[in-house]
Amino acid sequence: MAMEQKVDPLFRPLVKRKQADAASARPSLSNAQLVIRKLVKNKLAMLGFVIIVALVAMSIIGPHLVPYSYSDQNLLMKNKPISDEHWFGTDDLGRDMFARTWYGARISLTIGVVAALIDLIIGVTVGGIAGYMAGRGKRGDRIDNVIMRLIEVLYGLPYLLVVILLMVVMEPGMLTIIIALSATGWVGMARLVRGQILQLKNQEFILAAQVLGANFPRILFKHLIPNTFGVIIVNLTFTIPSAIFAESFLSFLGLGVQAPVASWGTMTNDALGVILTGDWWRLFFPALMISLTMFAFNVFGDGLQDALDPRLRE
Amino acid sequence: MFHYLAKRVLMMLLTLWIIVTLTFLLMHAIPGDPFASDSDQLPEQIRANLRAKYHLDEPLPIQYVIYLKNLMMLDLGPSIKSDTRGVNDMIADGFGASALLGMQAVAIALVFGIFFGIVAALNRGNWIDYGAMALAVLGVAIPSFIMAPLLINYFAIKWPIFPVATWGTWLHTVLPSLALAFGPLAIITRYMRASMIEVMNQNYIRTAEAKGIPTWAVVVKHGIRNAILPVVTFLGPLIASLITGTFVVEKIFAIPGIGKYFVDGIFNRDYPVILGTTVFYSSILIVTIFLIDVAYTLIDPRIKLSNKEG
Amino acid sequence: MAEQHLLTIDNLKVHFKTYEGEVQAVRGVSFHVDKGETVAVVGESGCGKSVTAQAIMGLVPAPHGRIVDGRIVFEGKEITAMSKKEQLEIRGAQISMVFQDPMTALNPTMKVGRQIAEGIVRHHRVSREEAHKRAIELLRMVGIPDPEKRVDQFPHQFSGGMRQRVVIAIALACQPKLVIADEPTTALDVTIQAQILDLLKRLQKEQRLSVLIITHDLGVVAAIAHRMVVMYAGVVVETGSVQDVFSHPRHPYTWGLMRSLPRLDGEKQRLVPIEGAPPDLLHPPKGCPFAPRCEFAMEICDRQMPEPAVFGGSHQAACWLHDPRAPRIEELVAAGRQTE
Repeated sequence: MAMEQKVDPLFRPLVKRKQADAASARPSLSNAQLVIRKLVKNKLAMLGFVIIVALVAMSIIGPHLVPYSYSDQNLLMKNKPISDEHWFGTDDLGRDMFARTWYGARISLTIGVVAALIDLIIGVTVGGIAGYMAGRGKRGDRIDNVIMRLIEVLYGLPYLLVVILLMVVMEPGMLTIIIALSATGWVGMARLVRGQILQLKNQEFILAAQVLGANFPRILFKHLIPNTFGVIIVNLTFTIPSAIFAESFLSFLGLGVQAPVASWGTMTNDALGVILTGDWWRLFFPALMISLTMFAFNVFGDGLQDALDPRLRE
Repeated sequence: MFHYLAKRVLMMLLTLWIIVTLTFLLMHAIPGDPFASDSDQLPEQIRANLRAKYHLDEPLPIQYVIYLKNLMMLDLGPSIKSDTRGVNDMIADGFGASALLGMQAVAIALVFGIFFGIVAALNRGNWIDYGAMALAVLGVAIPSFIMAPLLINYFAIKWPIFPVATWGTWLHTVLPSLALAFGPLAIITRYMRASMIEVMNQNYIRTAEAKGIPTWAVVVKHGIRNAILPVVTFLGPLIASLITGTFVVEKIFAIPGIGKYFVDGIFNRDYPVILGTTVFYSSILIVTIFLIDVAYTLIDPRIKLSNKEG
Repeated sequence: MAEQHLLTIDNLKVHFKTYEGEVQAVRGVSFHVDKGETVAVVGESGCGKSVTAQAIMGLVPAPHGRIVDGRIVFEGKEITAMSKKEQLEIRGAQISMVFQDPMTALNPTMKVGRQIAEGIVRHHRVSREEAHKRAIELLRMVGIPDPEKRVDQFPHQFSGGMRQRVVIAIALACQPKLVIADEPTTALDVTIQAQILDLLKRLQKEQRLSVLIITHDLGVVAAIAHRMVVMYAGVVVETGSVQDVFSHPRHPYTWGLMRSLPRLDGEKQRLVPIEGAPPDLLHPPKGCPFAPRCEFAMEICDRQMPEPAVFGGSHQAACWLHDPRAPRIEELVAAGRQTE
């Protein structure tokens, strides 16, 4: 017997579109792309980045923008304020502040970056070895222990005091400053790298990779290093300003680069005496540059840290 | 507990010893005779006497032992440049001013840093938060040797509320303490804010809220108590940066503290002074850090100092 | 006229502002809890069950989350319309909550006794000493041995199961009328789960409590609930006594849930998962949210939300299949589709 097929059209079976998988709707980005995206969204960090680029650019072309060199003296033009010929004024020996400021940029930035890079190289090596060796048999553990003790003890030393002492002993100059700064500065990086590797080694994905048959060098390169990379870069962006700060501090104590070579630190130091006489531009420009550099690196480093932190992901 | 303490004391002594030895070696690594560089031409005989007096003609290891022996008796030796005072005297003289300056700065940095950090964390995203963070960034960007002249310029010259420099009354201490505290204050604010934010996101805050206790009680009793712990770990580096900060501030403000002697000693290449004050500072720093570490393990109930409990 | 319910949720709607738009987490949920009964709210992650619980407690995370519509009535009073102060009086004292993860639900730097006593001091205005004594009794009640000693210990000195008991003690401290338990056993081992469920059952009988338990685990529902509310994508799809719903489920989603449970009794069946994923609540569908995953979906399902159909007693299901105009289920089964 035929069934009465009177079905309301609304109650006919639904013709379904293939349900778009919510997860596949958003294209998946690689890890690096995600980090960069997040960083770019952080306006403050981008401001820092722009400032850094600007400072580096000016340190290269700045001294060429004016006809004076950083050491040309013109005693007739002592302590002149900002003018058309001297965009940043002159100092007490008639030297053009604009040229000196950007020349000083070269010095300060170079010291900062080179010292930080040496810190990085030594620190990553030492920390990497310690982290790698830990847990790899008795010999490995011993190596790790020794390095760890060394790091602990060195970490307890008052950094700046040691740097000052070194500078008192050595002849002040750009090279010696860099050596003094990196002699104890690497400890922080080593600690971080070692800690990071130890943490990663214990994580389950390493175990998973091993179970899947990956051997150790492969694990090291594909998993450990990329994850440590972030920490290293962040630490780098913080050691550069601290090195620049340390150099300024040394200059303040008279242990910085020697005349006529000028860093921002020495220029600030020279200018301290004249705050009472009102020649504000002598202090203002190097001080501004130091502050901008510290600000820019710190803010960029913060942004980088936030971007790399998986917990803060949306 | 004992085991842990003993180990820490040992580490502490080891670090101290390294500093002392390092400083000693560095000071004596400089070739030549500290008296030879004097502009006054000293007669040979006097120079020989001086050298003998300071044991400078003895072999290095003997000088080292003498030095260590003196250290044990807390004698930091005489100053080369000053006839009337030894290093101990200088430290005693300057201690009052430096200590006062330092402690005021610590107090300012801690009190305001923690306060701003909490306020910023609780007002996340609005202008209070941005204001506090801006302050924090400034504090990191502007070193004390720039902050100091800035403060002098605006608050002592342009607007003569405070004296320009030197020491004397309570008013004299304000600007230097501020200059010294500014950087550490900024860092503490950041730390506290981050810590507070993390704590307030924890599940036990939800539990506390679910009890129906008022918001301020949740924040104070559950939030702040837990958020403040990580800040304690920062106190060590804080004291360190405070110490180096005093050199700058004492010099700029012409304050008669230990830092001034230290800086002068560097300038004059007065090695015993440099050596002595470095040892002094390092000792204070290392002991303070040790005390802070011990205090921290006592405050946080989760930390067991030893395996006493099984 | 029926006796007044202890708790009535009436057309509750909760939205969250996010970077990408407004998420409609709860979209018109209604159910009730009576005195002395245990009601389970079941559903998968993201269906809005936890948010509903938060809304009852007045703890929807502000400012991005807010109740946009609906009422919550407790003992005849509309708590959604109350001032903050009045809500604070009820929270913890009349209605309390047991949270999911015992490892993080307790303040690590505060003694356990103090955490239990805190609510008592606040709501019952007794002295610290008195509250402390009550805390010890509460610990005993939830089955923690040696409570006099344990009361002064810190959370890290307790195991996971013990901590959950402490959390329950906190919830019971002020003798509430309603306890909301949000996935109380999810983070625990299976054997501990059983203990905690037994504890809840016992306490409920002894104290004549009403319990609202949020869970995604049908086993938990079968173990302790009298009635159940099945939620999906922010709406209620089926409700009824546990008996009724388990033996005669009336909604395709519930069918799917029952089918995806492994059974130890009887023949081995294939485990049949429900294909697909829940809809995006940023742009929720205007029809039945389950339609894209439903084998029985009809044109009308895509266009309009079904009204709940009643099946005697308290059993209701919101599905167009129960509309008189729909083809009969037997025919659909004959056509090769499966129910149970």
